Amino acid sequence: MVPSPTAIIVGIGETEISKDSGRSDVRLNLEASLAALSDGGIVATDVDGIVVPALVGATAEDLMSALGLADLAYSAAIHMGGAGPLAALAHARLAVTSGAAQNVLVSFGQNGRSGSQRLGRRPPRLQISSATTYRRNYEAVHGFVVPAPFYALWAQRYMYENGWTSTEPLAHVARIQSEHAVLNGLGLADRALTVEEHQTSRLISSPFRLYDCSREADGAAAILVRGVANPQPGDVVIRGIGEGHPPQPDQPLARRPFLGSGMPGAARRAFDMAGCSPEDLDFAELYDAFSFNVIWQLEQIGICEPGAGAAFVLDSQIALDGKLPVNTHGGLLAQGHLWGAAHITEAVKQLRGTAGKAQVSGARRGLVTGSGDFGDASVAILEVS
Amino acid sequence: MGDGLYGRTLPQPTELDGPYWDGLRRYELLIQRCTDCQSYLWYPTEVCSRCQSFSMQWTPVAPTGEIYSFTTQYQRTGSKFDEDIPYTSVIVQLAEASEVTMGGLLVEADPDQVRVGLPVVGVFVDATPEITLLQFRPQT
Repeated sequence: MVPSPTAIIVGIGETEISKDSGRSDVRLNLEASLAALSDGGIVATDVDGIVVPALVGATAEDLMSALGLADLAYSAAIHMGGAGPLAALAHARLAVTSGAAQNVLVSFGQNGRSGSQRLGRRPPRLQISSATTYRRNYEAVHGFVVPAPFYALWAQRYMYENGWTSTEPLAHVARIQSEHAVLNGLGLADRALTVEEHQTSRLISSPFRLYDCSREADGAAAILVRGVANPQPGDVVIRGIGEGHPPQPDQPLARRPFLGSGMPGAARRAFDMAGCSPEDLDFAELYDAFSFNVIWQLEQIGICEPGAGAAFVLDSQIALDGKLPVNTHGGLLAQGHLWGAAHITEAVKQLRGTAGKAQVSGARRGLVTGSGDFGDASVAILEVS
Repeated sequence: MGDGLYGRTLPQPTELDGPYWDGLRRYELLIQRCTDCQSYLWYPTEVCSRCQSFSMQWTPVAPTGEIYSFTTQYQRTGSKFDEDIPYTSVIVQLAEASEVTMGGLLVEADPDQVRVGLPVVGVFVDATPEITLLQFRPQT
């Protein structure tokens, strides 16, 4: 096979996002995958590569069997938590640009709300190597049994170092994203929040309140990547993409620097590959497991100077009519938590001009982030040709 | 996680971290220290992450320090800790080994008075006859 220098996203597919899908994880993946293939104008047997973005949902074997694929030229599975879907896109790009495969499918789908793996109701188990011992012996014994308190520690330390006197900036993240979700109309949020509603909502893991936490959801989103020699006008091109990892990746409570993560490195690599900089972006879909993560990332990826994220948000610069619209679909906070897979499909819609009422007018270039597994990160810059 | 009378999650000591848990049973905090570069190392490790030496010694360290960050848990998680809500979990930076920050439960503290920088001292809690946990309380 001849290498194709440019990777483009030719198809996307989504299921509805709900609190109870009423069908299996595999079924959700298949519905989103078939929608992506149809959108990309190919049939299932044209797929010759699958990158599995997470340790939950459907395996490559599940998809191969169900779709009747006789063979795969490329497969891989990612172990980066919520950074997985976007990191999978990087693998898909490598596969198609190297010539290892032609049509690579990335599908994430899970009953993250109704299923047994609900993150807010189970210990953050990691089944690999020494991480299982870490989670139990040095964290869970101290009450760190779900993700929220870990991120709360980062938020609390950040607030201390930056002299915050209230969580009002977090309230504005929740408010703005809920407004976007209502415009988008495809998620769990059915109304826009006020700052007061956020500030009076119940505490979850201080400083986080209810609306600082993402809404766990059932659903799926899939992306189909192809390599081409010359992108045509209207093609959505993966212009830059990179991943990054924090020091002491599985030791968040002991990490130095404590607020370090893979995000700055991932962003630097993506911007370098794309040959552009933060001021060249028309929108950004930032992985928002918690409201704080949005402000943290605005600084980590260089959109704001260190410490300037709060003012940017308080000034509504992340709203649709702001300097850089963020999470135009409502994100994990308001649309629903699909591990960031719907961040990617939303970015593609923005670049196609099909994002509905939440369309950023004239969107040509957008950034997407993924973040998970206590600090792993991936960043992509997508551009319409 | 049915862990006897204590009820909450208990550790499962390993070959690597056994000396830490043995120390706690004697009400002593032991941290690995590299005998070459003198760094204190936490979480327990097979090799010094600063200088790659395999020569490390479990070293007594005073269980005192300052709160580096904290969170108070209000939301139920389906674990036995739900009976303690609201409870505060902290990261403590050790006074004698400032490169070490470790997790712990904060006891005998009003959640409203917890802050970054609050001095704390260790409390050894016998969870079971075999397991002692290190928790922290505000220094008085």
